[in-house]
Amino acid sequence: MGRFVDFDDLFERLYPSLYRYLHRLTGDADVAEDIAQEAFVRLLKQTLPEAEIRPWLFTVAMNLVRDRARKNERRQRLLGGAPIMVSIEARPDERVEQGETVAAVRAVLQKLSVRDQQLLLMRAEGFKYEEIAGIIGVAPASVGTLIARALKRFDEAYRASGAKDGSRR
Amino acid sequence: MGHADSGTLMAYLDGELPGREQSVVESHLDGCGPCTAELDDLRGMSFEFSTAVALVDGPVPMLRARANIASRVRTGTASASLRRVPADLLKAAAVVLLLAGAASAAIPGSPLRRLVESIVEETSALIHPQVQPTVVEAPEPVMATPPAAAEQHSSGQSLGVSPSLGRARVSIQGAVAGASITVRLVDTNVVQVTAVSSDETRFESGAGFIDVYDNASGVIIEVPRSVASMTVEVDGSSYFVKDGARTRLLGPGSETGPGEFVFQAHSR
Repeated sequence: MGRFVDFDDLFERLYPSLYRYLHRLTGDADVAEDIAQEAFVRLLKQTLPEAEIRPWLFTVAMNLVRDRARKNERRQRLLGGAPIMVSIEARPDERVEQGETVAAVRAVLQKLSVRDQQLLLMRAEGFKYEEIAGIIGVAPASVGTLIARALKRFDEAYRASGAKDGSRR
Repeated sequence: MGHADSGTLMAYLDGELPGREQSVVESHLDGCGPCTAELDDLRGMSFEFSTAVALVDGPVPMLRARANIASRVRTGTASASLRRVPADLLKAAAVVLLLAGAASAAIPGSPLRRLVESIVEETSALIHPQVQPTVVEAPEPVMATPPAAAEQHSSGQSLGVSPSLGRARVSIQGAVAGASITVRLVDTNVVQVTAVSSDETRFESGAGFIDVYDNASGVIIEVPRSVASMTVEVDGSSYFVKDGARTRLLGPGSETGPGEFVFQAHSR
């Protein structure tokens, strides 16, 4: 039988990273919080080698994001509106001078494909290429190329948005 | 070698190339202007991305999330108590259930068969299906003791870790608004965090990161100049980013000396 790990330890180590990833990905703090909590609750039902816990959490969270997006799409179709996955509105507590830049950054992120967002955001959370490859389902040797392309696409969209210069202080 | 493609340069930047290949690319870069320019572009875009996404970050709702998860576990959403059943008992239960399952297999489609199949499936999943499994214990309302960190350097109210794959992160939690945070670039290989006049600061660390639980007047963070990527966060918001040689404050603050930045907690 494997050894027990302390939930508090896992929570302190992984929750901030998972929440930040989901918040950046969805642009919605409430959605990020719900999904991160659900992923942790599901983790409690699992028996996993320790090294697989973080990739497992992020994979489950990503599946939950997709499920939610599908439900939103269905709901929007029934209501006759355009599908909306996330809100890119700045939060009310954001400073006015930052609000536009923040909203622009969120909009630029949303312009990327989900895979590009995953690649860049998981890299930002310190995932190794092999882990990213496992989660996204690509060959580890291709991750560097995919990240470089995703970065270039982000850069182009960021420049086009005009937010790049505006964010400099 | 010929010119390196952008994927190879990206992997080089992230320290993901095998040792020999890393050396080959490094040698090539010494004499190749186009590849060096491409690498600088990637480094610059990487810095812009880190800076941009850090702007959208908000506070991480740690306490609320922990309470909600604990509440869901208590109300049975996650059957955490089952994880504590001794392995031998689980094995015995599995054997009985497997026998029962085999017996009921003679009645295709019976409710008993379906029930037994579902229990067998769930029970089997609990009995070490993987090599060296880790079982997650249910959350308790107490803080964990700091995990043992590889490459950890502690002295009094100070803790250091080595970057992991060229990256590091310091996250300060529970900081008093206005607490002074100093970030200083240094010529060492260790990220060092020192609490200022506090006896109650608690550190947790792991590969490339330090979490600081601090409610005192502030902390001093020493950042190796050599670290490829570094962020400093306070209560879930990023305040400082270093990517390659470039550094940036993400809110009000100032550069008080060469390679020394000071900002206040919750000033973003």
